[in-house]
Amino acid sequence: MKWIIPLLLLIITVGCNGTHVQQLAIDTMNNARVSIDSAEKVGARDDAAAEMKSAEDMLNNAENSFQSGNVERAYRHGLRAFLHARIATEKALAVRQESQVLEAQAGLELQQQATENVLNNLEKLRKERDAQKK
Amino acid sequence: MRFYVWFLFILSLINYGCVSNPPIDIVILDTQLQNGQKAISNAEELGADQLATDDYNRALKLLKFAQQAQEREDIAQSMEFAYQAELVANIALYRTTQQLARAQLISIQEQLYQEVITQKDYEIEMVKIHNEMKAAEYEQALNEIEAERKRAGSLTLNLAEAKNATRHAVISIPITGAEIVVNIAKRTYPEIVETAEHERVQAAIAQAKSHLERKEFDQAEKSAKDAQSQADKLYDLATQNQKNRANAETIALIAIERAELKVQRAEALNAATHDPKQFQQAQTQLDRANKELQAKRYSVARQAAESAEQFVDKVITTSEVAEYRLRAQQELTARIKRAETAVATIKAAIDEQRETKVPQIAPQLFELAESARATAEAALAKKEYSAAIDAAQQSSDYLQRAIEKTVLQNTAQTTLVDATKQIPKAQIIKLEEGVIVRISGNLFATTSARLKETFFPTFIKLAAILQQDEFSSYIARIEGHSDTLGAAKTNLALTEKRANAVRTFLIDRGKVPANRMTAVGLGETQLIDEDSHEKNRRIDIVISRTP
Repeated sequence: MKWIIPLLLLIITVGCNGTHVQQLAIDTMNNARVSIDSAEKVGARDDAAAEMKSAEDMLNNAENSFQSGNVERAYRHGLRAFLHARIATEKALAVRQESQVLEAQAGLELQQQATENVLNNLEKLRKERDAQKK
Repeated sequence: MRFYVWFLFILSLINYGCVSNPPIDIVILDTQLQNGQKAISNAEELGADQLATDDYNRALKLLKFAQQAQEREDIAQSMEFAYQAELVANIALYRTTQQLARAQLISIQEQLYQEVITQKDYEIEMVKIHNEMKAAEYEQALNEIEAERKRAGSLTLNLAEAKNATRHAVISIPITGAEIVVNIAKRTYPEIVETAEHERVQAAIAQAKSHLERKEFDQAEKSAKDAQSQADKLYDLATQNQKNRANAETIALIAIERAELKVQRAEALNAATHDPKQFQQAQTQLDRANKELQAKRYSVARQAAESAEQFVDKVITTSEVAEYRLRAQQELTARIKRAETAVATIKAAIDEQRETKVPQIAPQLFELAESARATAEAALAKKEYSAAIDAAQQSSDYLQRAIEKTVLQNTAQTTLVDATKQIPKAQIIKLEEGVIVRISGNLFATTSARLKETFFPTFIKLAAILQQDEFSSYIARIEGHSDTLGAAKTNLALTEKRANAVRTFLIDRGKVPANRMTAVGLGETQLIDEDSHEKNRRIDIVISRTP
């Protein structure tokens, strides 16, 4: 009987601590998966391939750690996977934004050329008008 | 006590195992902290503190946690916070990048809109300049039109004169046309100048000319049209008159021609003899018609011609009757003479033939000729001259046929005699119509009816003669005769056999049709020489015409 009380204390201590971290790891890994899916949808597989790979590697490590019972490590890697996935998402969005900037820049140049052409025509017409007045 | 010491020791080990981390290299931690700091600096340089404030602050906070953990010597926790700080700083960096790009995009779009507005402004100005230039062109054109208008004003007077001249010329055309039509009408029918229509046309033409000289164009135009209309009517009248005159001339000519033809017929009918008074009247009227025709009084000429035609019609009727009677009398006289001549001629011809062989050879035809002659004489006596002529002609036909038959028969008889004379071992005896071919001697052996071969040529020749076309109407009677030697009854039977033997020979060898031959045995009934048995033994072939 003299082992019962310490054993119960150990079980409760370890069990409570383990259950909290385990749930946290699971939630974190789920968040990481959702973020990876989101990153993929915005084109991160092409525009942020390294970040995507890091996110997936981290998620893989987290899952492996979780499988091996190292839930805290799983939590940490899950959190890293989540952050890498967010980087990938933001980078992909940034790349897309910059691409739009480049397209807009090209459109602006064309418009500037067209405006210049119209200006040239206007100058010619002004000269004709002046000649007519004379 | 020992138990609790060990229990606590084991529990501490378990706790240590659960909460403590494996040892981490401090160098790696420093590096990670530097990386976190660098990432935050990069983000800050880009302006993350302004544009991605939340993430930037979060990164700073994480880095601070990492440093605090380092101070607590919680290396693992510090490492983790430093790593997270780096990642969050990167998030802030990319978010800042996005914000900057978005701002840049907005700026570019604003520039683009500005460029478009500028272009449109330029285009509006171009349109305005165009409008200005067009307005200037219109103004110039208006000035030119005004100048032209002023110039046209000066030409108006000249134009009015030209119009007058043109109108004058236009109105002159129908007037001249009317004059031409009047001249044509005059040429067509010269007498037209004496008519009131001609005077009216001349007056209208004169009036039109007068208006034209006074430049009263409207009145002149009206008068010219009137003159033209009058001239057209005058032309129609002249044409119609000319046509009527031509018709009248034609009718008069036809009437004179008819009258002349009838006068000629009257002359042919000896009208001058039969009705001299009427005939003279007709000729007088015809002469008058010709004179009126030459004087172009066609109506009078036609009336005279018709009068002449009436006279001559009467004369022709009278003359035709007289001529008919005369001709009928002449024809009657001629017919009487012809009948008398015919009857006399046939009578003489019959009398002439009466003493010849004609009555014997063709007695029926000769009798018919005689009968017809008697009929002709009877008709002549009754003055039925046509019947007399017809009967005389009929009598002549019968007589002619009788004469022809006689001549033909005589010719055939002569030919037959000449032909049979060619038969060997034969004696020819002439008959009235035919011949007897007599073959005497020993034609057969004694008491035999078998013909000897030496007589074959005789009968072959006889058969050939009978086969000739000219003798096809002749038949042959084969008579067997004997001498007086032997019993008469025997001789009769023998001669019959011998006659049949000859007939058979002529049929078989001579190919003479059997129906043209008969055979008869006469025995010793017709002796020709009392002293010669040989002459009496004979075959007589009697060749004669078909009855």
